[in-house]
Amino acid sequence: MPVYRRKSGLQITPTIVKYAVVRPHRRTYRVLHTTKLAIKTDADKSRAFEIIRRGNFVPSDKLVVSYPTDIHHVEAIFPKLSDKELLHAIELNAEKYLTDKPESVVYDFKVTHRFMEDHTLKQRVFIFSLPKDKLESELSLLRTAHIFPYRLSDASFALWNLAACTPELPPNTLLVNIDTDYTIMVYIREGKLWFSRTIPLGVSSLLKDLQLTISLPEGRVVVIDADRASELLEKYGIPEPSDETTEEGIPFSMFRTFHRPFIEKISIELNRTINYISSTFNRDIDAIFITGDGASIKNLVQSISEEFTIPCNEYNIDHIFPAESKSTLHEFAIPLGLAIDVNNVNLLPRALEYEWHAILYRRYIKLLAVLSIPVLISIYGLLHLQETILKERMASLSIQYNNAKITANEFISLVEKRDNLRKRLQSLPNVPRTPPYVGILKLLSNITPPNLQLTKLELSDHHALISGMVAGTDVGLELQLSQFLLNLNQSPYFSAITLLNKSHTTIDGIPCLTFDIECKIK
Amino acid sequence: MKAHERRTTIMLILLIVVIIGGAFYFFFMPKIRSINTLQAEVATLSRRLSEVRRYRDELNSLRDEVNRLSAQLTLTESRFITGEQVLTVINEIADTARSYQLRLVNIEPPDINLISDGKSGSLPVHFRLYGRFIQIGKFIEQLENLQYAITIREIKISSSPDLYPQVLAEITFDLYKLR
Repeated sequence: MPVYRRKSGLQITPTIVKYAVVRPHRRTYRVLHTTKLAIKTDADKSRAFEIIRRGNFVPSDKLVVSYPTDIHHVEAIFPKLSDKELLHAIELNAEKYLTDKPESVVYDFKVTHRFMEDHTLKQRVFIFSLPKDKLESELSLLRTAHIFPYRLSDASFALWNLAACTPELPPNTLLVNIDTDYTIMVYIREGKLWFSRTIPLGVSSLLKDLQLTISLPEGRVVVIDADRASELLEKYGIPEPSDETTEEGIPFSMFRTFHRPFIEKISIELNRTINYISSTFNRDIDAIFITGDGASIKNLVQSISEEFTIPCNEYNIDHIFPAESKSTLHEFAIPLGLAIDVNNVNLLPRALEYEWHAILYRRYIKLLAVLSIPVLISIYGLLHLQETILKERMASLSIQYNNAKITANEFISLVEKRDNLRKRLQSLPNVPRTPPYVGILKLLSNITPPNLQLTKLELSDHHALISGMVAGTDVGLELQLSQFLLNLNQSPYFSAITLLNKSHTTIDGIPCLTFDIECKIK
Repeated sequence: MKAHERRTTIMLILLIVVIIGGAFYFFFMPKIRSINTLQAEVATLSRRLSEVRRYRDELNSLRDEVNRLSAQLTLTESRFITGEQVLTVINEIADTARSYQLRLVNIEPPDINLISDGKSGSLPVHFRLYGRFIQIGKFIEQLENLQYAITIREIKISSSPDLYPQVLAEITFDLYKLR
């Protein structure tokens, strides 16, 4: 689970310290841890803080702390102002809104509602203040235990936070937290905090009421001390009227009467609050919801509800924190409500406001410093490894290349040699192909008829000039010449045979035909 | 945050920055430079090696080609004559003609300038001879069988009744000189 999603609440009262850790889970919250420690002195408180720190405490948790009994709160109506202007207005009217001079108190405000009145936009503001010296002594105990809060808020905001997470509440709800020492009542109107009241009446008063010396009807005297009172309250709560008795023999009908003073007192205070709300805000309370230690006492809510005509029920806290024991959760309503951190003020002095962030940053820095060394070493190692691999590859390639270089040199020298040979071959004189003169001579020898005599033969440059004469009878001369021409034409060596001239003559009285033939050599 | 805590935090941040910066500058940068150089060298060497391997594949065919060209050159060059050999070769040709009962009337050797110009080229030689037509044909046929490169440029054969059965042949052929 990511640590940064954890949120925690710490409620500190004069007799009890309650601590709860939650983390958001879908639309609800999962309770990770709860601690409840009884205290009497500052030493107990320090010890309790130390136990919390050594337990499930994580410094990066957004811890919201409340001191419900010491915080003074006032509600006021202001016109629409910016936060800065509002702060200035509060300081100017310090005697009205703060417990002391602004220099001596820490204070903060929360705008809970904006509305129109007489055509003016106004805002309802809750102003909280706390004497600096008181706060510093409290915070010094926390600092001694190395617990640095993220915010310092008020218990009424814890209840408002719970109400904000319960949209099904009626429009005018009185949410009551009956705690160990105090009872906190908040009037939630349409989801907004409208009024808050804290009275010094809690379960501890009820326990005191139960610490009695009782004369039983049979004459026996029973003494109930603080521990036994706590056991009886836990075991029986406010028992139903019956014939049963406690282990000491106290009849339940009698035991029930011991709770009456507390029930009456709390009912009177609730009535007083309801009447105040009715008279001041002109609204009637639709329902009362009870949580806190009181809600976990058997039949207490039922007994209180009998005093009222309006519905009075146990607050459904497991709706926000499912899968948890309801009775346990009621005890931690305030720290859980603080941890939800929907609406809160911050009464921490400015210097301390940054303390939590500073601690977180210092942790990150230390973590970074611690991590940076192995990370740097790892990066260097990886770089070194890469370099070594490359060097080895380089060496391997060099060996391969040197071996292959011999081949390359041979190749290059062969290419040069080949080019030189080609050049030399090209530089040699061109020897043209001789025409087939021998074949021509043989052919002429074969195709020349006996009575035809060649007188001249010139063969040059693919060109032939043949001269001759045919002797014999007049009739056969032309025929003999034609036969010769035909033979020439059929030979594979000649083409374009042209008879240049022919003439008839006689030599020694014998008729002759002289001729000149020109042709091309193929 | 108190002043000394703030100072400590700032110092810590600065220290981390200095450590990381110093490590980067003094250790990582030289390594990265060295790696880049090595990568470039490896790439070059790989490329050369692949080229060389390609040479190796072509080496045998190249050797064959060189041998073939060399043999061709030797053979071709052997058919050419030098300036000093010209007259010897002409005499050899003349002897061949005589061996075919041809009667040499005239031999015109090539111009002396052509023989001794130190250039490669053809040298025209002109033979004038008498003989029977068939013997002349055989002589010409034999010329092609000589070891030297000889090409016949021109043949003129003429006959007359007073020469019969012989003919007069004028043969111009080219010898080829190598420088």
